[in-house]
Amino acid sequence: MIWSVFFLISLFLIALEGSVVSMPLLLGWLICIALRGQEHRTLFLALVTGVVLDIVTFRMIGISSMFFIVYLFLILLYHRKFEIRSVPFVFIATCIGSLAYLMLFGRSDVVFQSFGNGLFASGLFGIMHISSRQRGLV
Amino acid sequence: MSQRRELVRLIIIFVFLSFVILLVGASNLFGIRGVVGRALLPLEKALFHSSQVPIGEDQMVAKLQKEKRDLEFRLVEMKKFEEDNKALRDQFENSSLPQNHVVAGEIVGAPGFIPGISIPEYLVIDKGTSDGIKDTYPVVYKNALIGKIKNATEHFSQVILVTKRDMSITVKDQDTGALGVVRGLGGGEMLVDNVILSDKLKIGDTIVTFGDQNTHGEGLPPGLVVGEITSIEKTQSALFQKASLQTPIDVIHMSTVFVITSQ
Repeated sequence: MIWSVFFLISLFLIALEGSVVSMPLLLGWLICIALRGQEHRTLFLALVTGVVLDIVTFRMIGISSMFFIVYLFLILLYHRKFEIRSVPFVFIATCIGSLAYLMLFGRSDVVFQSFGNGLFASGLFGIMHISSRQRGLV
Repeated sequence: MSQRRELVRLIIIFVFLSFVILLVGASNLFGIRGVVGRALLPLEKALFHSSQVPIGEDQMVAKLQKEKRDLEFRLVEMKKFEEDNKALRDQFENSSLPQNHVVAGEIVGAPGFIPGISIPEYLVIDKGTSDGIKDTYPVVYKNALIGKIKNATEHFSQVILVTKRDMSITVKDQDTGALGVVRGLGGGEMLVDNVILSDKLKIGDTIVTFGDQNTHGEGLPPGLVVGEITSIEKTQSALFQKASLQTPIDVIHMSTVFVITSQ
């Protein structure tokens, strides 16, 4: 059930990226989900939503999926080294990921957009964390 | 350690899958682009229209008054052209000039940094190959050039703006005939470059397309307005002179554009 909700939110963010906003909102959202655990489901979601995002933004189908999967892998590698389930880590990871993503696809204002996306993802992660604590899951 | 190995195994599988998708997706198998695009169209349209910031009443009145003045001026010019054209047609009895077809497209997406305020990276219109649109077709509004079609799918097309970085078009000064190349700088800015020093440019001059249509009528027609010169950079030690351009089109508040297709 929760993964259906995650998928619907992903579709909404994809529609936003395709029509209104040029920031990579989906990347920030996937980072927040990845830090909850269940890597195989997160990677599958990254694969599917990456394909949909490429279709909506007229890119080569599969390129965003590959970027998301590789970047999430790099983040999850730090699982034992740092406290990755924290707002500062989400902010920094999203900023760096957004910077690489925007430069890869030749966008403008990469620094401002990366910073903005970092704030967005941190806010999302904070909301997810608070709601998890309230439900007694953390 | 086993957890790490499991993660690496997962990553290899998913990277391989995305690589397969990359290869398959290049051929648009099962028309997936059209299916997914149409499924998300209503949501994209709703989000785009809700993001458009309405301009204030005073600004609207001033804008409309300016448009009225521009139209009155152009009407006078058009009347003169009509008379000249009639005279030439009568003279040469030439009625077989190729006619360009125009397809109207509604804008359903314009992603930018701050929606409704920042100049978008590109536009998405709701017309595609099923409507006769192909890549590189010019996109206009009135007689001003907005950009070109970059990726046309079955039902949607991506319009790259003339102000986008790396976009370049051969142009000429409508008043002096000086030839040059317009280069997009991103963020709604353009530069006319490669203008010979001996050619004259003045602030306020209108820059139009030079035209690069082939025998099938595909390509940029001549005479489309690209922008107006706002500043000139001319140094005697340089090979060429440059000028900054301002586009007459307010891309942020537009809802419909027109694609010039071939005959």
